[in-house]
Amino acid sequence: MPKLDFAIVCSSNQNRSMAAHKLLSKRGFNVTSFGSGTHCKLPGPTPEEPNIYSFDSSYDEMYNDLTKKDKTLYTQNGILHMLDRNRRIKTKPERFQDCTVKHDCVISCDERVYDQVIEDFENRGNVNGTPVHLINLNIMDNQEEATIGAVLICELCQQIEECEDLDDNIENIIKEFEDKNKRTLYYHVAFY
Amino acid sequence: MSSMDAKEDENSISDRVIELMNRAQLETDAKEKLVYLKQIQELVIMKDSALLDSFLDEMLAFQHEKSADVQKFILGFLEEACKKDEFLCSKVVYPLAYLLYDQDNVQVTKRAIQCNLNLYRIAFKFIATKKAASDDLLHIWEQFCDMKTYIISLTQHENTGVRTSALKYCEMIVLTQSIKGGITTSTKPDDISLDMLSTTHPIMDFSKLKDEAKSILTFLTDLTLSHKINHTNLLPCVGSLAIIARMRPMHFGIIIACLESLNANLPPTLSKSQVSNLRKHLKIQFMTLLKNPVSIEYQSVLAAILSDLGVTGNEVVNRAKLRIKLNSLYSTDLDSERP
Repeated sequence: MPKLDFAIVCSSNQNRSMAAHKLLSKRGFNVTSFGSGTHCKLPGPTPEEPNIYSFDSSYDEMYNDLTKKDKTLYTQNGILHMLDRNRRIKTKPERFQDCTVKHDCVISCDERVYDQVIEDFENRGNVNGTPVHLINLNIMDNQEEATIGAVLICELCQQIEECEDLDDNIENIIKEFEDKNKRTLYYHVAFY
Repeated sequence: MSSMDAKEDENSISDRVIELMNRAQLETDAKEKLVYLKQIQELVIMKDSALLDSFLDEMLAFQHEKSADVQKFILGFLEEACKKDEFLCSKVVYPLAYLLYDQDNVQVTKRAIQCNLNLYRIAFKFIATKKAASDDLLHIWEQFCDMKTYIISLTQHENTGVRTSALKYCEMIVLTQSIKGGITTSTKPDDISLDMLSTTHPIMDFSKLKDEAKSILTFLTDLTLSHKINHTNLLPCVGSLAIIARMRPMHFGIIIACLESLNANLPPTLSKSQVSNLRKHLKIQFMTLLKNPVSIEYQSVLAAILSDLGVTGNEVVNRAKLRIKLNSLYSTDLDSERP
């Protein structure tokens, strides 16, 4: 039975965090996913013309909107497939800064997101002294890297979930993961 | 709703609590017991807090359960009860002490420290506002002070998580027992400080508490620079110092000097990856401190450290501009208070 609550955070709660959310859910973890940006950004016809949605828009609405705009383009670049996956997991993206639920471990998918998560904990005011482990694993924001990243996050969560006392063992878990996967993680203990 | 209906409703909730309490007492499985206890908490704290006093003793009796989960739940219940009614801190102090001292389970110890972190502030405020002394108040305050001494000693505990919680508790003590003074960028909704205590209080000794905060801060800065602290504890320790600097400007200079020294002499025990992690966190903390209105005196020191940490001059200037905005915000507030 899972004992820890994990939050996976990327910028728009579309690609990296949702790939990990799907895999972790499938493996039986208690997981939620979030975005830390101000809006949800999806690729548009050119890099200068992204599709921007608010966090209130559902994945379904985004899917229908992009289908209307250019079904061929958004099918070919995999965005419709990604939105279809996302809407099967939950209704709409969630913003980390608006979340009031406490997590045991928050895993971010790039350094900028990690900084935003830390800033959010500082803004919350650390009132209760309940520790939360923040870990950053850099994952490039494309579908292939998101899939690889999800597997790595899953492996990390497995190690975390299996240890008897996370606070006491996190340093070793981080070190072993870095050595095995040749990846550098950022790590911090924040407080609710 | 008529008064008769309200009375009937209160009775039915009370009957429900009695029924759940009986089930919880008879239940041998800890998980099932927790289900009943959570329902009782919901009823006596969230639904009808008038019942809280009536059932408090029965709830506190569960502190003697063997299950760590039940004990942790009771600690959470104590916190919620005191947040609802601060007078109850006089009643919960003994179970709190029992769960803190008489403990083999580190998970319960950590929860008891976190519970103390919150209840110390409630008890501090509760007693500080009393003008007359009584044996009861004196006894409660002594209990909290004894627990404080014990928790500070836990910063040397063998378990990293216990040390982390004890260090966070030390941060709370420094904040609570220091005066706010000047401009702070406090974001805590209930920022309790020494300002609310009279220098002639019959129970709490203003000077002694202030000196204690200073010595705990010295302990934290010494520990940060000691090279004996492990990476996992060093990060929250640096975070605590930065919070104290932001919220209690009187300590700003000491803390900047400590963090500057840490940056210049990173612990040799850290791995390459841990060094990069620590430098990143120092950068985040220094950038946040640069935004603080008090930092104006330390701008050249902060700019030099940030440059060493890889921050460009432009980023430093932009962050300093935020401080100027904050300064003008504060001066506007002050102006608007004038008649």
